[in-house]
Amino acid sequence: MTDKNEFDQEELNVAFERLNQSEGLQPSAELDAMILKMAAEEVQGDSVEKEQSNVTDITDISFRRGQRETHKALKKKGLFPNWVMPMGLAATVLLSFGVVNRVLQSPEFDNLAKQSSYQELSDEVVVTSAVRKDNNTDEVASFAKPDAVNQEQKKRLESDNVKTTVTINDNEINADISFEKSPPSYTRPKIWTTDSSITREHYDGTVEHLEVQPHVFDNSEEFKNSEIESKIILADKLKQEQAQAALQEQHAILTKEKRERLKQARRSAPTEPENQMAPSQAIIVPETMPVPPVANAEVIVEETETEGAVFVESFAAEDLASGSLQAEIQAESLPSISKDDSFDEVVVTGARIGNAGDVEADSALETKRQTLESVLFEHKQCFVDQDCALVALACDSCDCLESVSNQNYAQYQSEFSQAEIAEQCFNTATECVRNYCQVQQSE
Amino acid sequence: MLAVKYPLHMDVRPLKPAQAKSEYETSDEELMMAYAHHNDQQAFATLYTRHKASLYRYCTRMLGNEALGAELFQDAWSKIIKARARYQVKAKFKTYLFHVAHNLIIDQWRKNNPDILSIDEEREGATSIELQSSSNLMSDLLTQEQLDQFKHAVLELPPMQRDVVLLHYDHGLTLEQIAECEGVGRETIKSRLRYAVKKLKTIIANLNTETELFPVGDV
Repeated sequence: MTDKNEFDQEELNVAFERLNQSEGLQPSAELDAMILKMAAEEVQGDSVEKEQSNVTDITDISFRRGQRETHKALKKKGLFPNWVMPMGLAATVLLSFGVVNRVLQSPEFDNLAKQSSYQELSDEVVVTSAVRKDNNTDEVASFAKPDAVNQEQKKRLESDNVKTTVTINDNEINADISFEKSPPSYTRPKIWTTDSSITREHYDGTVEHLEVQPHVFDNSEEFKNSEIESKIILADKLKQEQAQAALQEQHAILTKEKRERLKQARRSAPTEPENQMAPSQAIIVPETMPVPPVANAEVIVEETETEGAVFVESFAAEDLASGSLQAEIQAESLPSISKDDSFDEVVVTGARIGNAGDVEADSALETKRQTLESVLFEHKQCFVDQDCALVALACDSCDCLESVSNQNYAQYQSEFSQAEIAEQCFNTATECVRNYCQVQQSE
Repeated sequence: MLAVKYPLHMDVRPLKPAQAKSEYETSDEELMMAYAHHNDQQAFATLYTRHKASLYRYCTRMLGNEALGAELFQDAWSKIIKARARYQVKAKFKTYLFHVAHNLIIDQWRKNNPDILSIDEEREGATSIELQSSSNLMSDLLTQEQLDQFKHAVLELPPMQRDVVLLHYDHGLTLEQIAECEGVGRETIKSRLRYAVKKLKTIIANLNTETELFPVGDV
């Protein structure tokens, strides 16, 4: 491939040379002096630091020496009896043990332990506490974790029905719970309700937390007939799923709209006659939805005689690795290109410049593997910027950065509120997928 | 921040002051190593003298303002000085120097006007600059007015294109060095340069109607 830039090397060098001579741009003498002084001061500062560091070392040594001598002197004078050292050590150990023990037994630590157990049990119900006092036995059944329940307590729980109030999405309904006998019954209560509006799928498997409030009964009869004040908080899985689906749908719509607008803006951008033939330098707005491995790219095609931009829709990013890139060319964007045209060069902006194959009958482009391989190490530093609008554009090592910062971004910003952008950004992360900043949505 | 991967093939060992060659024999990298690791202030002074004009021009022309350029020029040297302890020869010192300056310029742009970073932005008036033709452009003595027009033509380039034009044609960096400097591929720089030259040609073509100073070929 001919390097056309070399063509102008000499002329432009001469032009710059003359411009430089003419302008005579030079830093001022004061600036020179300032920088040289800065350089000197830094060096001197280093030297001083080194010297100070050495002084410190000497001081340390002398101090240690002094310590040693003092210790020797004290030992010689016998100021401390021999039992001081072992006793001190023992006292330290005991003190440490006491502190650790105190921490382990503290309510705060217990709460921490509980919290961690909740996390582990995730979708299981944990009876945090149930207190019962029987007149006859004065038995108090109280436990914080299922593991702490003894066999007797388990039996009682399994045989008891507990009336309670169930809260589903902040709506309270009356319900009964019972603890099934099949293990682990006390962590998976059955929930009964006469409310026909609540179906099993509303709460099946979605119990997040069960809290049975502590209550003391005077006798066993009262216990059997009373309702235990309790609260079961159930996550409405169905509604959650619906909300999430709605969110995703809205996200998709917004993204689609945004892409359409960007496409329209790109097409309707005012073009001067000379710019019609000039390459657009590809404003690439990669997908802002999790769509890998499909990516959009704009390909600039340069012919021997004419040049222009074609927009390539949705080629599979994995095709880059496989060595072929096929895409539909929108003919209207480059009327001068026919199916028989042979391209000098194909520039996939934001990804790579590569050699082009011929445009085939179906207007597909083919690129060669060796040119694509070099793409793979070219774009490695995608990072997520402050908001979603910048995500696709924030690949620091490719042209997307520049693309982001153009009027499209301003347009994007004007059309979407911060809340909408934030919503689109929800759970998204950007990474470089085969040379493209891909926005992916995490689970 | 860009992580530039400098080629590792260069093996320039630190030069101790005692080993110092004459000013003209010593490479930039050796001078920097002598300053960085042996506190050789004279080495830095030599290095500074070699590159000050070039870097100053680059900063000034990239920012289009001498006061800002001078400030950024100072910042760039300040960074070089402060980071000297970590300096290792992995590329030409000049590439390293311009890399530092380039990053500062990008930061400056991002801070002041992020939109300016668009390389495809066709700024209004870019192609409508009236470059007055002269019958004497080929001569050694360009008129001041014509040089001003050329300067303005360069300044009218989109920033990223101006960057590669300045680095390549004014400061003599190769495409590979510019690619290292900016942390992008060589082909990206080549492409960018091609568009920049083309645009520059378009502007200069107006100037060239009666002269042959810049034979623009088939624009």
